[in-house]
Amino acid sequence: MDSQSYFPVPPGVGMEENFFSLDDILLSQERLPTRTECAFPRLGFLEKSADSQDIPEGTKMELPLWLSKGLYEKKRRVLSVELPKVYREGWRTVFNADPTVVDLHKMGPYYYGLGSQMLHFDNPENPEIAQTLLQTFIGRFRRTMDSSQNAYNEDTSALVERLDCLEKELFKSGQSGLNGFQSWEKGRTSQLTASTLVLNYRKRKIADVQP
Amino acid sequence: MPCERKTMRYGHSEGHTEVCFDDTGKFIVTCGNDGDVRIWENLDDDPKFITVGEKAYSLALKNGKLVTASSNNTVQIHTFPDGDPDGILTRFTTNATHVTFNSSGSRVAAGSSDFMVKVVEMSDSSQQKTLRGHEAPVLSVTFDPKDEFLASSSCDGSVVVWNIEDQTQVISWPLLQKTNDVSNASSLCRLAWQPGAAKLLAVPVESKVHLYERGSWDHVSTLSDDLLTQPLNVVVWSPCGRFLAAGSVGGFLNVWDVNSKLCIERQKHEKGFTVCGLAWSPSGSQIAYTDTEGCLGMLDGLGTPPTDKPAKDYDALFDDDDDGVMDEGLSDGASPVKKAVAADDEEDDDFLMPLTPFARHADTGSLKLGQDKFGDDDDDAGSAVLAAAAPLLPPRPVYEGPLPSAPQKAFQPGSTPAHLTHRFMMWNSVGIVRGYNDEQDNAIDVEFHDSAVHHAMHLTNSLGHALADLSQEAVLLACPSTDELASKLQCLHFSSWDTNKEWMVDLPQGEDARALCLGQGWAAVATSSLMLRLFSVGGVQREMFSLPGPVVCMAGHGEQLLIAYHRATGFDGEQVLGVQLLQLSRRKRQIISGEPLPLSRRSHLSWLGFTAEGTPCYVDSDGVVRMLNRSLGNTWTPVCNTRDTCKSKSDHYWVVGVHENPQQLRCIPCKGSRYPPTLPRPAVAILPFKLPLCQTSTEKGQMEEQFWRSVLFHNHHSFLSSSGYEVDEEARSQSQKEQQELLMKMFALSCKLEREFRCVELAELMTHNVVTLAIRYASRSRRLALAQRLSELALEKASQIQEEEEEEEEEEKRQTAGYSGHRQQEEEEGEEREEEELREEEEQQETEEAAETKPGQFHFVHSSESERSTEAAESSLSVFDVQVLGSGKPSASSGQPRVTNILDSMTAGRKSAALGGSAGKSSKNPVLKPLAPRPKTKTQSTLLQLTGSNKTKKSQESAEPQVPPPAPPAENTENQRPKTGFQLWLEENRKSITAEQPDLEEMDVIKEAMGRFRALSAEERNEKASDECVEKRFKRRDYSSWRFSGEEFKGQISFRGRSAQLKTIHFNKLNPNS
Amino acid sequence: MDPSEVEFLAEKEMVKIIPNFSLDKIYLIGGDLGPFNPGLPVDVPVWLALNLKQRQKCRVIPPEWMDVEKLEEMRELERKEEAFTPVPSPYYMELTKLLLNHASDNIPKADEIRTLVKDIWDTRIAKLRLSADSFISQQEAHAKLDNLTLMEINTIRAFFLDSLNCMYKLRSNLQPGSATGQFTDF
Repeated sequence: MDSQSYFPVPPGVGMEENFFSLDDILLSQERLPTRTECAFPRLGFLEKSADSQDIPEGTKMELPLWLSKGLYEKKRRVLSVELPKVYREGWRTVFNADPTVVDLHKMGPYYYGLGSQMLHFDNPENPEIAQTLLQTFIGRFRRTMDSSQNAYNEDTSALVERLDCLEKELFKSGQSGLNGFQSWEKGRTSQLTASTLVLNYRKRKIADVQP
Repeated sequence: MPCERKTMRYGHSEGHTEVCFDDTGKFIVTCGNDGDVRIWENLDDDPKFITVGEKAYSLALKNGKLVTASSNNTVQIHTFPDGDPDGILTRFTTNATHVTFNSSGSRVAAGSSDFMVKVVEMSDSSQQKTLRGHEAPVLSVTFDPKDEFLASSSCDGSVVVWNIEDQTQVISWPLLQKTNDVSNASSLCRLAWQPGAAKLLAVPVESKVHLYERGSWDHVSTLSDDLLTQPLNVVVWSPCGRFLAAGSVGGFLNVWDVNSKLCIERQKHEKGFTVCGLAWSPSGSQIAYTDTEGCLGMLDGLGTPPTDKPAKDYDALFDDDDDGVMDEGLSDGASPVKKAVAADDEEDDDFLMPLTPFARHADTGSLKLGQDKFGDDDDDAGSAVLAAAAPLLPPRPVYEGPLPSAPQKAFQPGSTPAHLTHRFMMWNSVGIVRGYNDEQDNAIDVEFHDSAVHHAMHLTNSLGHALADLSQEAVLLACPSTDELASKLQCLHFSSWDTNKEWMVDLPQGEDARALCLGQGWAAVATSSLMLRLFSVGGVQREMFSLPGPVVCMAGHGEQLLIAYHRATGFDGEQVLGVQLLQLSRRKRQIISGEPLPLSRRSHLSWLGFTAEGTPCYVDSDGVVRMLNRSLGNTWTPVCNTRDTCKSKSDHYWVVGVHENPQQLRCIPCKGSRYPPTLPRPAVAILPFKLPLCQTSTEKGQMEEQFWRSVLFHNHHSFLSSSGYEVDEEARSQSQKEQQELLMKMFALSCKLEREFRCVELAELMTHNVVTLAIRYASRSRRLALAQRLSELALEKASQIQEEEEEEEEEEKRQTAGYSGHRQQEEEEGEEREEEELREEEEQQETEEAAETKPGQFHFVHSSESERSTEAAESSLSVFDVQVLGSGKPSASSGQPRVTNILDSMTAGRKSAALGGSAGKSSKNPVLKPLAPRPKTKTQSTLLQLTGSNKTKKSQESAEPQVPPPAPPAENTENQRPKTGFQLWLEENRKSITAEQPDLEEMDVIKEAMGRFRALSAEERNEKASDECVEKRFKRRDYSSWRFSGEEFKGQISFRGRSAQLKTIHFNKLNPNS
Repeated sequence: MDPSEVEFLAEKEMVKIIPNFSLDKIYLIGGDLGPFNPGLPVDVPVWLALNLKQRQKCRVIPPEWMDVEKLEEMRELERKEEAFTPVPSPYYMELTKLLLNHASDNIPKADEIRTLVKDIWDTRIAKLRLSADSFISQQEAHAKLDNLTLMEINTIRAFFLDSLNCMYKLRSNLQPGSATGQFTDF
């Protein structure tokens, strides 16, 4: 029933990022505060604020997720990644208290995605972060569901604006279910057609049956 | 007088309520603001209820009729205790306030808020008397028990006594406070006239009861009680007329002894609510009362006071000159009689309802009483009261034999009672005719099940048609006569091909249409003057004749007319009906002439008609469906009891059609009633048939039931074919197969049970063919004795068949004179057979040649037909029919464009039957075309050394014992067939033979050919024969009929069609010779 | 799945009609239908019933449950019960819509029935959301779908499955062991 000519690539949360998913690409562009643990010779162009050719050890800089993830190694401490502040203790308390009040869009539109990615950088707080992510999702689920299932034929931008990117996707699929049902109820559904396979197969045709 | 005050029961919603007892005192009936009438058997049980309207203001009950004043400004009648609406008695411009019966129940008085009082005859609501004079809403009305006067009270403060006959005021007393509406009145002022003696009229005035004397209209006394301070609402006399009870606004209930004027009973309503309804039970021992909160209470034990009151009561009853009598009992006891007489006299009152069991039960009254009643009404009618009130006292000697039952009214089968405002005037297999008769509309709707027949019609019913019938051709309507207009018959002949689709006929003065029906091409109407008039469907008057008794109903189908009428008066609720079945074909005849119509005990006829296949059938009020068994001397066999499938006692099935193939009883389930309402539109349900055989739970019983049902339901095949119609051969052979299978199963079962004698009995029912199977079964299961007996039986059967054939031959000989002698020889002598074959061949060739030259052939056929038809005159009629049709003349029926499916095939069948050719030989035996043999030639001949020619016949005997033996045509064709096959073969191969052996004589060629032909396989031979036959038939068809339908073709392309065909050709050739 | 596909399935349900024409048995891939006798009720699939109805060849007899009293009872029960109550037909919503849209003249009190069915539907959908939410928040492992109809499931399915998917991923974050292969090159 999907009439799209290509299959949309959904964003991945956690391990299996999708290579072609725009959301994942955007996610990988998220900048993380890092600190170099060793000197990066001749990479000074990356650090626009300094003029030196090399990046010395101990420099604090923001690197995109893809780069920090690539450079990060447990054994050779090349660089250390600090937690963005939404995942830190303070915000975690807020999320645990009432996840629904937070404007996740503002907090970085890829709250869940980035959070899951943060788990790759061996942080002692990892279990707490994962727990918070889950609880936040659960806590906000009801609201997402209700708003997506009830908002028929109205402007949904207000409802969507505080949602995380992932939640927006959910909202969309909820809306499609609702819209499908409503348009069926109103009799505005598409006409069903026989599959071409069946047509080609030439089941009994009335013309064949009647002499 | 200590009495027991029973706990109150909640009955209705808040507001005015009323209560009364039924005639027996068994039920208490209440009505209230919620519009329901509740029927209480006793105070502990939950009541049944009837909804009569949005509000019910008042009710009265007598003789099984419940009269209520409801919020739609009408006074309605319902039957009691069933609660079926029974019409509207009268209307006011606003609601009625109080209704009451007179003592005999023949009239109802109703007072209304529109200041009027109406007195209406129960039997004829058009006979009304209106009493005008009140200047405010009427509060209450009461009849003088002698029916001379009527008293009423009104909100204008007056209590008036009226002379009913003159509709004048006799006297008026200004006794009450003036108000403008009933709801504002301080008292309902329910008046009460002393029953029986009718000496005193009791009027509640404030907290006292004034008693006025009849005639002088003097205020003779006042009953009062010191404790009573609030106005009295209602007063009521005890049935004996000695005591008076009153209920007051404050909830007080007082009973006075009128003679002593002492208050002998004083009760207070348990909650002090206003008493607004009061009723004394017929036995006098109970008083029921209701209050304005909708509760019902009862005082019990009034009849057993410590004083010797009962004795005194009854003493008073008789000593009190001849007055102290209540009339209710009498009217009750005598009612059935009266009803019967009334119904006898004037047949146009309501639709007959069967006497209720209760009414019969109360029949302790008698003929004599009835006469008393009619003779000197208010004289010593006391004994009837005793029956109800004091059974201990010796009644007068009365007639105690069986009482005549009211003859049931004429009705249209498939209609609901005429008094309903919305009703079915006809529901049959063609469609539905509905009648509406209410304020907005008096109209008739005609709707066809099959919209291909005709589109729905809406007619305004300005003539007041009450009877209707519907067929594929026309709608027939009839209205009763009125004072000015004669009874009319109107026919909408929608299938007419001209532009005039309607005709109307006035019946002679004083003759009313009672029943009507439509057949194919005709209409019949039975009238009140015991006449039956036939019309053609186009409006030509045809035959008429007198009926032996008043008609009950009629039904038509094709050419058959079925009439049920009263043969005599029945007793004890029985109906004595007779039935006539007429065949209105070219030669009219009566098939059943006035034989009694068997009905279940104490039931009446509720449906009469034909099955779709044309077998008469009827249903009685006990739900038993009976069907005519033509093969058993036109007896009636019960085939179904619809009541068996009903869930509750009050449920019924309303039959609308019967079908034999498939076996279906089409009916409408009615929950709690006998008739379906028009809305919501009822749906048809299908019931199976079941013959009431013994022990149908056992396997044996089941199979027996199935077998006999199958036999019975396939009788119509033989009837149809005997009437010259085409039968569905496939269904026929199917049914025979089914029957034989069942026989075989039963046979096997009996074998298993070691019942060999029974086995033989069963085998006697089998066809010859199946007997051989049975023999095999018996011998395999090592029952040699049985097998021996069976083979004897088989031989017997075979010889029987032979005999029949021979008989047939004889017949034929007589007809075809010199020629047949020749034929017979040919049967026996092999040599000559060959010669015969040659002859036949020549004949056939001739026929074929002739077929090519059309005009000549036509002449030929025609002459032969006419010749034979003179012969036929002395034989069977239907043959005559067939032949005439066969000769290509247009038939009346074939010209009809609209006929039922069955009739369709009938007309088609006639033609083809003639064409098919069984006609040619059938001048003696017209009935059947030969049946399909299922040749088991091999087994037969090995087992029984039977000649091949015998094999066809067996099938029939068991199925149609009535029918003239079908064997001969079959036999002949059998003889014919090999010859023909050979001939054909010979034609083809003659050349090759002569080429091979040119020196042979003609005879030798044939002999040679015979030899070769025998060498051919059976299949080859048959093939040859059949191809040729079909071809020939086509040729023949060319000249004999230009109408040719695919259906015929199908019917003909069967084995037997072919052989019959050959036979015809043969005969056409032969006859001119003779 | 599209609601119209669910409707397509619902059209295979049998319904009684009273034809006003006469026709022998017809033999279809889905089974034999008929014979059709004028005035005699016969069971046919909804699609045929509606087709005939639109050509004015029959009257439709509403299914037994399509009755104001019965539906009122059902609605009360549905409101009272915590769990889903059994529905009169697995396609009650679809049949109501189809029959009421095309054959409302054969169904007494069509408007009331429409409202009642809608009420029942709304009650059930509210219940469905409630239970979906509790399913998520309690992190239950399985749920019973007793007495749920296809159409009901269909409205929430896309959303619910996606949500469960996300939740699964977020939950698998909790187990560090499953974090193998987490290094994906962008």
